[in-house]
Amino acid sequence: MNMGNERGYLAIVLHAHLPYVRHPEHSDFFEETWLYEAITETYIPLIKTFKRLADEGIRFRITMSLTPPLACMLQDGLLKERYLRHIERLIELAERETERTRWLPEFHRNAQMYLEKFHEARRIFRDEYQCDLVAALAELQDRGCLEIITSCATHGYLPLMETSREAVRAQVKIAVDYHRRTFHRNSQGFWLAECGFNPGDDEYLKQEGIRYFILDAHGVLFASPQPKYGVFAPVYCKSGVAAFGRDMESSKQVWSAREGYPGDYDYREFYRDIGYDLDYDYIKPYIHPGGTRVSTGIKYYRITGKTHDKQPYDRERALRKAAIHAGNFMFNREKQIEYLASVMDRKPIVVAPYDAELFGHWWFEGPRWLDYLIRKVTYDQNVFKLITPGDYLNTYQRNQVSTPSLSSWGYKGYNEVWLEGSNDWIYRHLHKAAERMSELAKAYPSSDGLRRRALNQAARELLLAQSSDWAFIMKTGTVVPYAVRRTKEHLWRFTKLYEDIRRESIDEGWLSDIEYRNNIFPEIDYNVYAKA
Amino acid sequence: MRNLENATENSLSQGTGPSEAVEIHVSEAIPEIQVIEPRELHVGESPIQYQRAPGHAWDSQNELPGGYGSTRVVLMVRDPYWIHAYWEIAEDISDMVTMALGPEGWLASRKALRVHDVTDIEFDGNNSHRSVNIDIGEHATNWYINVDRPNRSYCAELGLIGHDGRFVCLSRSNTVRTPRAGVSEVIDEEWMTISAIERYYPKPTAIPSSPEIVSAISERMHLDIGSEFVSEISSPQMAQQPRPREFWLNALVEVIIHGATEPDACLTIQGRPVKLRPDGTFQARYALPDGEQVIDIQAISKDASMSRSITTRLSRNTW
Repeated sequence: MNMGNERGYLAIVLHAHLPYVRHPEHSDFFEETWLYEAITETYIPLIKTFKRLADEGIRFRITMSLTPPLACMLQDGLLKERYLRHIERLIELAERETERTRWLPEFHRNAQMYLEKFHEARRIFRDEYQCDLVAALAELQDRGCLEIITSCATHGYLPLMETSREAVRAQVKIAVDYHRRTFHRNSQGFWLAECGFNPGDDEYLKQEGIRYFILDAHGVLFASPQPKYGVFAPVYCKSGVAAFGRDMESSKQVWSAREGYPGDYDYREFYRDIGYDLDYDYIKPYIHPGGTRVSTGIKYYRITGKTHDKQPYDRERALRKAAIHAGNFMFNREKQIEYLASVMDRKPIVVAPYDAELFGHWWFEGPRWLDYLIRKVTYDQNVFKLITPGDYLNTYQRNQVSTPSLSSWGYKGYNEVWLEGSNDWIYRHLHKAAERMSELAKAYPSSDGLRRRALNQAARELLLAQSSDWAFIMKTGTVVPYAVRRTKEHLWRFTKLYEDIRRESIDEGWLSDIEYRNNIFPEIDYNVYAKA
Repeated sequence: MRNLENATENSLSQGTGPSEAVEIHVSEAIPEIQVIEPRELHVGESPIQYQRAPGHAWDSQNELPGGYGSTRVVLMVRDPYWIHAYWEIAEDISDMVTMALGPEGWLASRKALRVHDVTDIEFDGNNSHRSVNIDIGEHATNWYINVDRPNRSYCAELGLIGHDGRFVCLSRSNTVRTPRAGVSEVIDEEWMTISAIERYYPKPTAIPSSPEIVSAISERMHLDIGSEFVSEISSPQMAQQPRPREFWLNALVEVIIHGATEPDACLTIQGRPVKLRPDGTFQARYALPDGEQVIDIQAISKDASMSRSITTRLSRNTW
């Protein structure tokens, strides 16, 4: 990256993650729709936005973390087929909606907008990228727009995995290896699940050639010795891996439920979906197969205000607001960076990480806001440039040495979200399974045949049980039975594999069945658990 | 903090949990309690103890085991002021405890957790900066422990206290370090260029002071701007609109126009083609706004030689 007259940098980091929700044993499985909705509403709109900007010759840099479970799902043949079936059904529903709303112009316009969006999603997914969105992202990386980084193998929350160093190392190494196979290059950075960091974890990142990771603000601000530049420059851990801290001001403008942009009254209301609003018999073919009303993705209202009496969504008005908000965000960064540059003896970096699924899925106008922001940053100002943390480290190779603090970006900033009354029961089992996995790897090095398959599958089941998503769902109380079931199911399978391997009586039929169901990381090597 | 059925909490300071068990002990001030070297009493792993249901498919009857047959205690950090302990005591410890405390002592003993502050020391069982005994009762399996000082290291011993006050350690935990709750007091600067380390001491610049940062962060914690609200995409519960406080009512009107004609005819409603089912029936559905709608339904035969039309006038008036 060429360093010019700019006074500082903005690093936008989009963290794309979904837990591994693949259920070949059911023909229609509700939790899989998390993936389908995210494809239609977030991943395709982001890919489309970035590609259009690149085609227009606009130079920009965005960092995207793509977790291995999400990448594996996006590359899975069964889920690709099922996504096509899902989008076909949505197109059919949107067609019916354009008819039904014919006499209500304000709704008819929106029905047509959804119909066009769904047609476009199908075209981009099926025709433009041959159902391979990972390849679409890789292409954007090759064109110099994206820096794609990996994350913990199954989004395992590292600070609560401490009792097994082998398990922490495996969450890092399996992800890095998978990333290299997928993108044919090394991941420069590493997104720690939930920004969860325990001092010392950086050693494992170092071993795998990772150059940086990102923490919440206090993870860096409370580092020791005191970081001279706060969160506006990285610090090196003793291992030499850099830690970047999240900027609170830019986070608040986008994230905050109260004062953030996404709550603007002109934006689309997330909660009023026709899956809940319309006549049951009419909507039944498009909701949960069991008949429970769920979201369809077609939502006709704007937030309107703190009222139940919602007004119809006005797309043009919402997009005008997105442009205003992009301008406001840029202006605030200009002021912030000008100030920082005046008190620092180097160019500051403002790191703004967000969940990718905020853009499009929750904040419907989010991808357009990003589009406007990138254009404005390019043409309307010269105070700062977009950058990736990796680019920044190429320019500023010399950084302060400081040990970041244990921290996360969850509520209250530490481990409480994943360790409280609703979910603390899982750790005695997860820790035991992790210890047993290492025990197996050490007891049976370089196995082959059936035992090797069983050992690899044991590693997959352990990894899937470790996803931070299950503890998080138990805490937030959304689909708790599903999260509990997933945790118990993976642990139960792991334990059976452990016993079978120990007793040297592996049930091949059963093993084949679970290999088929839980097929994440096809090329996993259990030997990773032998080393701490 | 909630008190759960088998999870309780305790405090190394004043505490918000059950407080009668709280005492701060400086280790040398409690000579009457003999800490027994845990290694002598460590119980090895017993055979796996849990049930497997018949068949191989997991179902909800296949609960996780209640324990793994070994005595152990594990600590985890929750935040700068709280740590969490979980433990298991194997059933076959009685012989060893009887040996240590005598048969009567064993019967009269109480389960306890002894939490040690082991910051910056090599803990040998006797040299902690301070420790606290927590009476964990018969049935608890885990405990939230309030520790008053952040940025310290803690280790716990799981054991029994005999009627004579002696402590028998059954298992010693891992050591955990709680995080700092504010800006580091260390201001020495060390700089590194990758692959070369050097030092220099420039004058301090204007980063916010510790109280400012701490208050900004605690403000953020209350704003709920974490990542969490989108970590999980579209669960049915989350997608439901939060129930409004005031009483409410929605009423919409839709009309269904249905009928039949020759299966190979061409049918239009308000000039727009409508698909016929193979038996010639049709159905169209419209949301009806206030005002008047004139609906002309027309069928034309396949060879366009014949046609029929029906016109309906609908009006809706909401008040």
